[in-house]
Amino acid sequence: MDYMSLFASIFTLQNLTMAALGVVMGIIFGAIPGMTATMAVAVFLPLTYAYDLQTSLILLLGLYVGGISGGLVPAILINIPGTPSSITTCFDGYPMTLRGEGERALKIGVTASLLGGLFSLACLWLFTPPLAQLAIKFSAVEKFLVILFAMTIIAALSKGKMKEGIWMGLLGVLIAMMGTFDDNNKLRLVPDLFRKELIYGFSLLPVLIGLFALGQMLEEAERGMPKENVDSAMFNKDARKFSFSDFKGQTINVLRSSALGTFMGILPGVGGSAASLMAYSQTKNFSKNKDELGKGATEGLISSESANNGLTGGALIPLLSMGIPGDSTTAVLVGAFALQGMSIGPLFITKYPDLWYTILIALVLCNLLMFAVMFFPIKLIAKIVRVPKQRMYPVIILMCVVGAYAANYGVMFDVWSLVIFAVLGYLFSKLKLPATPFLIGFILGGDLEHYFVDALKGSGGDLTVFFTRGPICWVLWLMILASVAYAVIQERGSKKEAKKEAE
Amino acid sequence: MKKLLCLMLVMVMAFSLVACGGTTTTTTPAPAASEAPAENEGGEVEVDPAEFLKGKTIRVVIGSTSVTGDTYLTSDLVTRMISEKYECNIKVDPIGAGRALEEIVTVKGEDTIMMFHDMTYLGVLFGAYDEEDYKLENMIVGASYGFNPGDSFSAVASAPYDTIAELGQWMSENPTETVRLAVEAGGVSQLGFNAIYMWISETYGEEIAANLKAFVTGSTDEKLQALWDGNCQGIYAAASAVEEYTLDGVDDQLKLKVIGLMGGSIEGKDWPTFEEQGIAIGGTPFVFTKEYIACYGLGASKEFVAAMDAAFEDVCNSTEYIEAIEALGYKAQCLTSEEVNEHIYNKRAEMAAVIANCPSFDDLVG
Amino acid sequence: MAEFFQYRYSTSHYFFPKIIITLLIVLGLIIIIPKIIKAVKSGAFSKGNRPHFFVENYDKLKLFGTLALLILYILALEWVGFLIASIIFIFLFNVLFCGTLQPKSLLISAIISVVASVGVWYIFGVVFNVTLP
Repeated sequence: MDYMSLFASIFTLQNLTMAALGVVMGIIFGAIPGMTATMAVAVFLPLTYAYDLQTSLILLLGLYVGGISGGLVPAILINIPGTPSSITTCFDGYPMTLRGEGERALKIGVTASLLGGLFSLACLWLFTPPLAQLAIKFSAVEKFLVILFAMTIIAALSKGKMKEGIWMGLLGVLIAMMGTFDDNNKLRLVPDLFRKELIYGFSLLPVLIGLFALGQMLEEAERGMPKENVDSAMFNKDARKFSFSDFKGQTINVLRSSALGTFMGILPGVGGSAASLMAYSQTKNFSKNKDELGKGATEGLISSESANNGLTGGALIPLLSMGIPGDSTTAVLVGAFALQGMSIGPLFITKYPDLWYTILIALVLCNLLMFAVMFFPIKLIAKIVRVPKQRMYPVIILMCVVGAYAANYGVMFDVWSLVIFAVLGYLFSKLKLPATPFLIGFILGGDLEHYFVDALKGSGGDLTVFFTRGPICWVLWLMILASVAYAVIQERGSKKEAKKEAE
Repeated sequence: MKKLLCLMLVMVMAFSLVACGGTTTTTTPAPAASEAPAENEGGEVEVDPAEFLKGKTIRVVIGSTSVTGDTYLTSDLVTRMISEKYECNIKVDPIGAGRALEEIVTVKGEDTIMMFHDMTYLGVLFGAYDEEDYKLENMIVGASYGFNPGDSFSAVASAPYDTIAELGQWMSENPTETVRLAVEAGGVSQLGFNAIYMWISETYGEEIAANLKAFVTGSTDEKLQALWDGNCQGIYAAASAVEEYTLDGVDDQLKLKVIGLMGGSIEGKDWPTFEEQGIAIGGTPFVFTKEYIACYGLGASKEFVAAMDAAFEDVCNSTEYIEAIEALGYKAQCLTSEEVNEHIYNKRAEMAAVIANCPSFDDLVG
Repeated sequence: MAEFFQYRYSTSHYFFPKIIITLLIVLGLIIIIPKIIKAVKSGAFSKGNRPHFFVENYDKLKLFGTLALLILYILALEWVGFLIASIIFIFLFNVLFCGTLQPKSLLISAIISVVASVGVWYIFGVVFNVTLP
C-alpha cells in the first residue's frame, strides 16, 4: 500500500476541517447536560451522506472523541455529569473547583483524557487481533461477573454507610428493570396506568440529569437560589495552578485506568459508563491516600478521565475485527458504513487497509485536536462558574429538556421522567440516601440482569455455571471478593474512627 | 411582599399561557380529520404530490430503536429521496416498536406517520402488543416501498448440516442432541422458528421436534456471540448482516454458513431457500418475505394518502432509488396503499394460521 | 422456595426482579431493625427530636415555584410548541430565581430567554434536524 498517497488523501483541507468540526461539536454535545457522544454521532450521521466514507469517518470519530471528553466540563465546574461516563469525574473534580482549582482540574482532566485516548489507540493499533480473541472468551457468565465487579464501586463509594449504599444500588437495579422484558415481551413492575408510557421503562439520560442536575437545582431553590454561584474560596487567587508535574507519580494510575477503560470498551455489550466506575474504584483501592479521594484528589480525576477516553479505542477493537460494536456509540458508527452500503465484518482490516489506517490516523488527529481545542481556552471555559446560578439554571433546564426529549428521538415521557427523578433526587438528599449508588445500579442493572438470565439459559438453569466456567471466572470472583472484603475492612475502620471521635 | 407579587405574576402568566394553549387546540380541530371520513371508499382522489407535500414537515416514527437496522436504513433512504424531490422535510425517528405503534394509533393529523414492516401485525399476533389497541384496523395502511430478501438462518461453518432439511435429517439420526436456534420473541424470527419446528414435527415426529429449542435473545450482535459461545447452534439474522462471516478467510472460530432463506433466493448467492429445501407446513411450502410499509393515523386525509402513494410510486420506480436500496442489501418494490391493504390483510390471516398451529414459546424455549 | 426462583420462559420477566426484591427486603430489614431498636431505646420518637425535612427558613416560593413551573413548562411544550413555550418559561424561571421585578433584571431575563431558546431551536431543531418537543 502506498502510505504517502493515503496520507495525502487524509490530510486534505476538507478532512481537517471535518475533524475540527467533529471534535468541537462533540465537545459541545458532551458538555451539555443531557446530550452524549452517542447522540452527537447519531445527529450527524444523516449529514454524512454527502461525503465519502473516509471524510465521514473522520467527522464521526471526531464527534466520538470530543463527545466522550466534553462531559468533564460540567462535571468539574458545576457538579453535573455531562454524560453518564463522567459521573466519577464529579467526585474529585467539583471539590477542586470549590477550592478555586477549577482551571487546574480541567487541565488535568483534559490531559488525562488525551493520555487515555492515546493508550487505547495504541492497543487498537498494535493488539487488535489478540484482544478480540480475548473478548470472545467472555461469555454471558464472565460478563455478568465483570458487571458485578464494576458494581463493587458502590461498596467503595459509600464509606460509613455501606449497607444504605448497597440498598440504594439494588433499588436502582430494580427501577432499571421496569418496562418490557425483551426475552418474552412482557411488561413488569409497571403500574397499569402507565403501561404505555413505561413500555420501555425509564431511560438513562432523563434519570441521570433529573437526579443530578435538576435535583441539585431544587435544593438550591429551597435555599433561595443565592446570588453568588460560589464561595469566595472559588476565586482564591493562591489556589494551586496546573503543571504537568501534577502527573508525577501517576504513571501506574494512568496505565491501570486507561487499560481498564480500554478493556471495558473491548467487551461488547458492557455499557461504556462502567469503564470509569471500575477504574475509579480500583484507583481508590490501590491509593495511598484513600481518604483524599472524593475530596478533590487529582488521582481520582485522572483515573476517571483516562478511563472514559480509554474506552474509545477499545470499543473499536471488536467492531473492526469482528463487526461487533463495543459500546453504544460505535454501534451508531456502524451506520456510517451501512449508509454507504458497506458492512463491517471479520475481514474488514484485511479487505480495507486504507480505511483501517484512516481510522487510526483520524483517531490520533482527533485526540490531539481535542486536547488543543480544550486545553488552551480553558481559562475562558472555567469562567462559567462566575455566571450567577439564577441565570444559569434556567438555561440548564432548557438544555435538559431538549436533551431528554431528543435522547430517544422524541419521547415526551422522557421529559416527564426528568421531573420525577428531579423530585426523587431532591428527596434522596433530604433523607440522606446516597443518589450515586442508585444511579450506578440503574445504569448497570439492565446488563446485569441480561447476562445473568442469558448465562442461565445457556446452562439450562444451572446456577453452578457461575463458578465452573473456567479460569477467567475464578479470577473475576477473586477480584470481586477482594474488592468487597477491602470495602468491608475500610468500613469497619471508619466506623471505629467515628466512634472514637464521638467519644 | 415583593416575592409574593413575583410569584403571582409568574403563575398568572403561566396559567394563562397554558389555558390559551388548551383552548386553541380544542377549537380548531384538524380540518383533515373531519373532511375525510374513513368509510368513504368510492372515488379516486386526484392529488398533485408536488403541490401537496411542498414545504410540509412530517415526522416518521419507525418500529426499531437502531439507526443501523434495516427498518431505519430503508425508511431513511426513501424519505430522504422524497424530501429532496418534493421539497418537504421528512425526518425518521427510531423510537421502537411499542412506542411507534402507540404514536400511530393515537396521532390526530398527518404530521406523524409510521414506517415499519410485517412486525406491525406479527407483534400483535404473537401477543407482544395488545390486539385491541394496535391491530391493523386502527391505522391506515399505506404504500410499500421495498422488501428484505435476506431473512435467514445461519449456523457455524463446521456444523454437520448445510441446510435446514439436513438439520432435520441430522436431528432424526441423533435423537439425543438438542439444537438451539437464537431468535427474538414476537417477530419474523419467531415465525421462522415456528416454521422449522412445525416442519420437523410433521416430518420426523414430535419427539425429534422436541429437541429443537429456541434461544431467545436480542440483536444480531448478541446472537452471534451466543453462537460463538456455544449457547446455541444456529441463529436467525439478515443475510446481509452475516454475509461477511461466510466469506473465505474468516477465522474458523467465527465462520458461518447460511442454512436457509425464508423468502426467495438471492441473485448471485447459492444460499438455499426454505421452499427449495421443501420446508412446508401441512403440505404448503413456507415462504415469508419481510415487506416495508408506511402506515398513517386514522385521521389522515385521502388526499394525503394519495399524495404519499404518488410520491412513493415516483421515487420507488427511479433507478437511483433501486440502485441505492440494492446497495444496502434490500429490494425495491412499489405497491400503492390499496394494493398493500389487500395483500397485508391476507398475509396476516395466513400467518395467524401458522402461529395458531404452533406451540407457544413457553414450551419451545430451553 | 426453590420453586419461587425457578427459571421459566413465560415468567422469566420476574425471575431477576424477584431476586433483587428479596435482597432489598432482607437488607432493608438489616438496616432498619437496629435503627428502630436504637430509636425506641433512646426515646427518639418523642416530639421535637425529629430532624427537620426542610432547611431552616427555606424558600417556599422558589422551591414550589420551580416545581410548578417545571410541570407547566412541559405541559406548555405539548400545547404551544417548543419555541414559544421555552421563551416564556425560561423568562419565568429567570424572574422566579432572581426574585425581583426591577426593569433591568427583567430585561436581562428576557434577553437570556429569547437568545437561549431561539439559539437551541435554530441549532438543534433547524440545523441538526433534531426532533424538538
